Amino acid sequence: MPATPGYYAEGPEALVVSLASKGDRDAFAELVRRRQSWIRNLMQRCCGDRSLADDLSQQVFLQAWRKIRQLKEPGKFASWLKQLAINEWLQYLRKNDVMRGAASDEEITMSRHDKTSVAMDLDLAMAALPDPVRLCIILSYHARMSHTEIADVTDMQLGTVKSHIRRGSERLRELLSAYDESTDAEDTQ
Amino acid sequence: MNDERDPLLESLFSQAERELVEDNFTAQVMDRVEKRRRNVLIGRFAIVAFIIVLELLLSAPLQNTAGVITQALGTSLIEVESEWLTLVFAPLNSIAGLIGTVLLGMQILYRRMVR
Repeated sequence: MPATPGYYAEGPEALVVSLASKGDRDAFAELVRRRQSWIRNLMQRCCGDRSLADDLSQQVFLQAWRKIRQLKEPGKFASWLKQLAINEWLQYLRKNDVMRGAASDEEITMSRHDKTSVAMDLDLAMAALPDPVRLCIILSYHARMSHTEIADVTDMQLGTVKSHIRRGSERLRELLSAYDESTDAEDTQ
Repeated sequence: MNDERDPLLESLFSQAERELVEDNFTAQVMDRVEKRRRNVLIGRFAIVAFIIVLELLLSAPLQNTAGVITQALGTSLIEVESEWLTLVFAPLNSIAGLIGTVLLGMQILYRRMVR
């Protein structure tokens, strides 16, 4: 029976992954639908540019389609996809000099406390961090990976990862101190 | 520092995380998947077509060349009157034999030099 769009929407992910790895394009489209938001957000935090983030995310899914037959455990699709995304970003960094000069050392003045402005301010602050530091911060805060996992996927020493995260966090706190003050003000009210 | 995260940054990251509407993204990815599949098919077809054309164009000259080379390699270095002696000594008394002996000698020499 041919699959119709949305046919797999209710299916467990491991099953959809198994079908996609056998060449079922509808199953793969369902995986893209499920994971696109997370991957696009990750790429957006990495590069700070929506259209570039979407382009890189599409590359990630294209890689996933090419390599999905190599995925032995369908249950590990999410972490496998995350690894592909990180590799795609590292490869992009090697080829391009992204965000160089885009960063501002000035403190970010918080305008409105809504989701869009938080995302924009965060992206602006992230742009002030050097590439490896930014990557470690994103993997820690966005991907919620442990320091050991970050060291594994990025091929950095554990000590380097820890120091990047410590320095990056301090820098971000400085740049985003307006949010800290606003939180304090809200707490006192 | 352990794996603990800064609470302010953690909160900002979670606020910045938006559920992005799917809009055309999946369709664009599947378009690229389809385009890639088509390109791979075209590439394979082009390689097969190229090999067939090459085969058609070069089969006659290649066969002729192979024939000439085979004949040349079998040429006796020293003319022997007896036919059966010519056959027995053919592996040594031929251009192919000479080339083989030279290559063997070079290999032995190379091994001795390397050791």
